[in-house]
Amino acid sequence: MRILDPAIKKVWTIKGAIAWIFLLPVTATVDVILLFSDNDTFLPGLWTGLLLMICFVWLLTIPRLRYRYWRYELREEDLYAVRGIWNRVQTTVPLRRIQHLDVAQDLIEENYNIARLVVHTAGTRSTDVVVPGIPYEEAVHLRDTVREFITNYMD
Amino acid sequence: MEGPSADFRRLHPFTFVHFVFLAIVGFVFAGVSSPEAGANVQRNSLIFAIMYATLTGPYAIAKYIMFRYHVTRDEIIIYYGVFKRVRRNIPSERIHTVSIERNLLARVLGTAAVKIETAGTGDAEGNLSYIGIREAERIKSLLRTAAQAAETTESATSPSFFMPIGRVLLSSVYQFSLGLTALLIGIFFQLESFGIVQSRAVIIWLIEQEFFRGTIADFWPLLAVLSLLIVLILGWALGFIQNLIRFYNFQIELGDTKIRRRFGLITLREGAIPYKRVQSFLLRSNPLMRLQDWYRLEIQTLGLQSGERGFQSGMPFAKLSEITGFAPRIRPFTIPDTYSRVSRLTIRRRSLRYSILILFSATAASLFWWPPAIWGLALLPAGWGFAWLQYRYHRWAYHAGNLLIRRRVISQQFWIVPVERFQAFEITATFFQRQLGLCTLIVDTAGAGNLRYPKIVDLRRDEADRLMAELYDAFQTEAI
Repeated sequence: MRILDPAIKKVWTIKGAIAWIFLLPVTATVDVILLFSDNDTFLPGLWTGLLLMICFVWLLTIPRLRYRYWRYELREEDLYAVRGIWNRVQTTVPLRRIQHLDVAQDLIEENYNIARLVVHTAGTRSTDVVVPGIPYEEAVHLRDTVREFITNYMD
Repeated sequence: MEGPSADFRRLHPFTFVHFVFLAIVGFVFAGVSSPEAGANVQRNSLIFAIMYATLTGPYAIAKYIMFRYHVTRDEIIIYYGVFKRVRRNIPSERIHTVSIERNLLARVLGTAAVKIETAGTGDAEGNLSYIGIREAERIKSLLRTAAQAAETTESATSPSFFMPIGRVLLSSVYQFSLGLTALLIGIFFQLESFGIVQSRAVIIWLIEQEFFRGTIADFWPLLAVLSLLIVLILGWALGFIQNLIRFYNFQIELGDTKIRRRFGLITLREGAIPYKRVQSFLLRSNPLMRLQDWYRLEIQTLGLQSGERGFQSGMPFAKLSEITGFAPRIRPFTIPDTYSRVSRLTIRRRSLRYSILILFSATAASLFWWPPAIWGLALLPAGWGFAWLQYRYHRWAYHAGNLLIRRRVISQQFWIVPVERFQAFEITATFFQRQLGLCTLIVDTAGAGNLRYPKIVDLRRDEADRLMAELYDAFQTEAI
């Protein structure tokens, strides 16, 4: 079983931080309103502080745990992936069922030279199986291997 | 781009009547505001309504003028678009379904909507709304003949299943429509806010009469029970009407390559499902229906009609023996004599889940309603009983190339999934399941919904691995 590139932890941490930042203006506004009101129940900056604390713990633990439980393997006739912290999911996608494949990369991933292999099937739940954190060259190689299998299978 | 020649036809002029009808509905929604709203709100609503009519009216006329179509035995060509002109050619051999839909207004006006669907998309690729009914029949016959010539020669079809009015009425008795009830109640409250109905005033007047002599506060338990009764009766009545309108005159015929269906009272639906698009069968029932051995057969397809989310009614109300005599002609299956059960530990896991839910709700309620909220704990045995029932009803079997799964207590499901139709295999295990050595086996098929799909919940882990290996081996040999 293959593990993901360790750089994915940094990518998930950066993406997580960006997502949490969007909540900051909300808590900051609440704190400013409380600061200028006749409030003596809450400490000034309580909500922003609480948010930053949760964000810190989340960024410190979740990306590491996600990385720890992610495994994948391209086997002879299928793609096998295991992931999940709370809900452990084990997916087997027969290669003959793949409709098309993408190697996707955003700016952050590009910076760390990793990519995502996106496998599309006609199924409903596993329509898109995404394997993240694969070194770019390896993702391209995986895509070509699967494409070759499908082409041979179709012939 | 080359424009349409003289052979190209326009839609039926009565298409405008449909548009005007929809515009009036939109106008009413946009223009009417509550009388309680201020003058400014009413004025703004009126301005919005006039703008709506001014903008959409000319656009509808331009859309009608620009839309042309031409049908031959080989293809259908459609020109459309006001700002962006599009020419769409749909070759006959790619056409899977040509369906005719007629709602009440279309039937009064003698028009119909023709929907042309091809493989690879859930939505209609060609939509002729609206054309004359004779023209619709001509197009359907022309395209159907061409599509059949491209495949094999279709033999004459014979009616395979028909629902006489007596059975449609009986099936309607078992229906309940929660969605329509909520909609009707919403409209009712809206009318109340307009002052068109005054139920609150009537209730207060009734309660103040000599017989009751009180206020709403004195009679709220009685009013709550009465409201619940009204909602239940209304839900049942609406479910009855909805089912009757939908499945009136339901008939399904099995051809050599396609299943043809025709049904509906107000909107007449006609269409065909190619056998190769059938993915699995779902038999649905509820405890009342099952007492009399009644089931509803749904055929899961690649998503012919987006409105039905990939599930088409095959036999809306039939005995199990009728279904097992009919459905295997679409895709072969047999019902096994014995089924396997999931692990008994499922009772413990589910009981724990319901207990947490009940304890949490009772604690929250007790903050506002102490001490009566403590009676909520009496629901704990009911939760455990329900968990036991879920275990009793959940069974599975792998038999003759099909995975059969029976599950759920109230809205019962019985899945029949051919192994060659599997798209992916999944084993999931939540934290609690892992503590008990359990997991859930899911088989993904094309066209199933995100909420309705075949799964076996709380299998022992070793059993799940063994079953998955067996299914995967069968898939490798049978799937194409």
